[in-house]
Amino acid sequence: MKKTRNVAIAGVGQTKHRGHREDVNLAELVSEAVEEVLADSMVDLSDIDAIVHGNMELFEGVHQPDMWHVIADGGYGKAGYRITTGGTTGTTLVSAADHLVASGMHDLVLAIGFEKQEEGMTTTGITNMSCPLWDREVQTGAITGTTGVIMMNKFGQKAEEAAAELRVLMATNARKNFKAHLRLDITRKDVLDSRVLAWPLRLLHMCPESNGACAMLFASEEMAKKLPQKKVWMHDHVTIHRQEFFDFAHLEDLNTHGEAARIIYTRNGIVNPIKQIGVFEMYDPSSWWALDWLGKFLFMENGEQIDMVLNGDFAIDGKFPVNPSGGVVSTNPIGATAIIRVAEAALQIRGDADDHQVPRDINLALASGFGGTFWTVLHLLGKDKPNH
Amino acid sequence: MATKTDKEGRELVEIRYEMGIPGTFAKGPIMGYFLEKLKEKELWGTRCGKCNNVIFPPRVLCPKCMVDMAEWVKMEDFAHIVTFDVVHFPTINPLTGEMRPVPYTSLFMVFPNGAGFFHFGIEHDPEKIKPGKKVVPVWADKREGRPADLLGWVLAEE
Amino acid sequence: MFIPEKLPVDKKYCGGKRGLMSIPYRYYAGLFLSKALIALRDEKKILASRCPRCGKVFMPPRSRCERDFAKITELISVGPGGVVEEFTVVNYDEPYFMEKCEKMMKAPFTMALIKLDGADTKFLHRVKGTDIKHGDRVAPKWADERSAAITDIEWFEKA
Repeated sequence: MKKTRNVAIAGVGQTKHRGHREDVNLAELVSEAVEEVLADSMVDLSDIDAIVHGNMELFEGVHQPDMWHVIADGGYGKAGYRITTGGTTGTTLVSAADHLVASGMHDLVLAIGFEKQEEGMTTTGITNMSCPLWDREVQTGAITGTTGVIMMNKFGQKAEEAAAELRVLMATNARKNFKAHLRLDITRKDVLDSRVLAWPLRLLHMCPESNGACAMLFASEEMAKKLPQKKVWMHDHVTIHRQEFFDFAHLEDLNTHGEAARIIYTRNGIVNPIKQIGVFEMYDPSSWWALDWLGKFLFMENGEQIDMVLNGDFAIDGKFPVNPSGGVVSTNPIGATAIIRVAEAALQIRGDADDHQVPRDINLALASGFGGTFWTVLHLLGKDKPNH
Repeated sequence: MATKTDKEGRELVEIRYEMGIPGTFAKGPIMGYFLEKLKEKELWGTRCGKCNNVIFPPRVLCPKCMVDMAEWVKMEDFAHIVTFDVVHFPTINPLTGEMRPVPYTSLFMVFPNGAGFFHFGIEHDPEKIKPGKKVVPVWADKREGRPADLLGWVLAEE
Repeated sequence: MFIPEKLPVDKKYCGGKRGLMSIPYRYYAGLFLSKALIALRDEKKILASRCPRCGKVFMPPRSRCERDFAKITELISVGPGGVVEEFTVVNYDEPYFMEKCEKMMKAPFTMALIKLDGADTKFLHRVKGTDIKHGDRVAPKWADERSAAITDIEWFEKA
């Protein structure tokens, strides 16, 4: 991607993500993440030029939350943008902040994603994305086992074992991340014995509804030089959108992850992602989707990723660490979910991920967002400045 | 408005409410025609003149080619299952404000002309529903030009 | 409206489908604001919050200062009397609100931005009657049955 100037991540902040946060209101929740990003970047709020702010309004039922949150994000007198692109909201926030800084428009931009899901009804909210004249009547929101059905038919029992194993791995990682919502101690059997939501998707395969916020600070190169925190550089990002209905009759059409990955790899000279990329924070709404999508991001057409899962290759100390944070199946405050992916990837590059730090030097990290009818936003971050 | 006491014994204000916003969705000539034809137990899609794909339910523009659709296409009265969801997780249908009865089945299907779509399945046993199986529509006795005129799809007699 | 020429379409099929968007919600006031709302119910006391850095007094109480981002922990008593700063007279009963909302007042009445004694911000409430002008002093009329809500003050009336 051609950029006018380089952009660095100058700080990261997130709340502890929890199932209940009745002790704070929406604005107070957001301010916790903002407070942490200010401390992490050692920047004063008055130095920030613009705020990009996003969630899914129908999940809390608050219209114009950016207006409410001026008290919580220090937006008074600053430029403000509201972004809401469904599940990809968080990654789109990062894309937008990146553009605002790269363009030369602003030097320091704060991006905030948040959701307080205990206040609404997620699936009912999501259903409203569909055409009210047809699809909305039969929408199942995000509860779908279709990918599982397709994988079971293609790869048989092994796929079901691997999806369960992937969930166990995410739980193992989440237990090392005190900010994760679900830090479960589970086995493959627990996953396979859990309640069926939409066969073969089971309760434990599915992401939770969490309350939390995540904020990131983006700085121009000149500004970043003056700031004390370790820098992570924005290398590239790509967004692939689709039409407003799911075209399951043309499955190749739904491979937006593969398309995004191909573009990112080509533009950045990545020929062997497993070798060149140190960690992947993937948006995994369910372990079935995660299992399928790993194959798409890594161009494995014959289900090689299934064996890799069963081999432990995606573990923190494995060949290609995926979601050391515990992933979306462990933590899912939707408007924040995708920005948490980028934030966690940045922490991994900095070496600041504490107990869930990948035990090796990471030069490049990948972070994905997913939403809508298979929309993908993919970000590539690096320890070194990109060569444009 | 009410309060609740949390685990630490603190009294917290909690407001519960239902946001019910009535509205009217414009049908336009394309979906209007489509919904009208449901009364006659007919299913219609539109075909793109450039890529020749048929879109069902019909759209004004082809989402891939961004050109006007070329013609109306009457769909066959059967389709094949691509994949499916048997959903056991009850959620509120925002169009009615009421809980959906569970289980319900969403079928992803494809017409012989290649148009993919989804709708309800009448069968809820995942052992019986298989990709590739033929399904036929079940119509309501009283049809008013609404999506609910089509009750769902059942497995065709072999 | 966009009507493609090639596709045989007829305007007679245009129309509207009646719909609804119905979603249940909850809202948590949070620990800090809850204290102020509960004081309305239990003590008939109006609490505002004061910024420890700039001293600005927020009514309704806020837990962050919008100007300097300081965390606010102090609640102070303001009012109960105040001054009408801006107002508008409501002459219309919206049927939807009359049916759905508790404790709606019948028109005509006045909606006013009131600056309570001791507060730095104005807050919105109803004032009984329509003979209101800028600068009028008003005082709260407390509800007999209170539930920790802003409607625990039924309305303000000229003092």
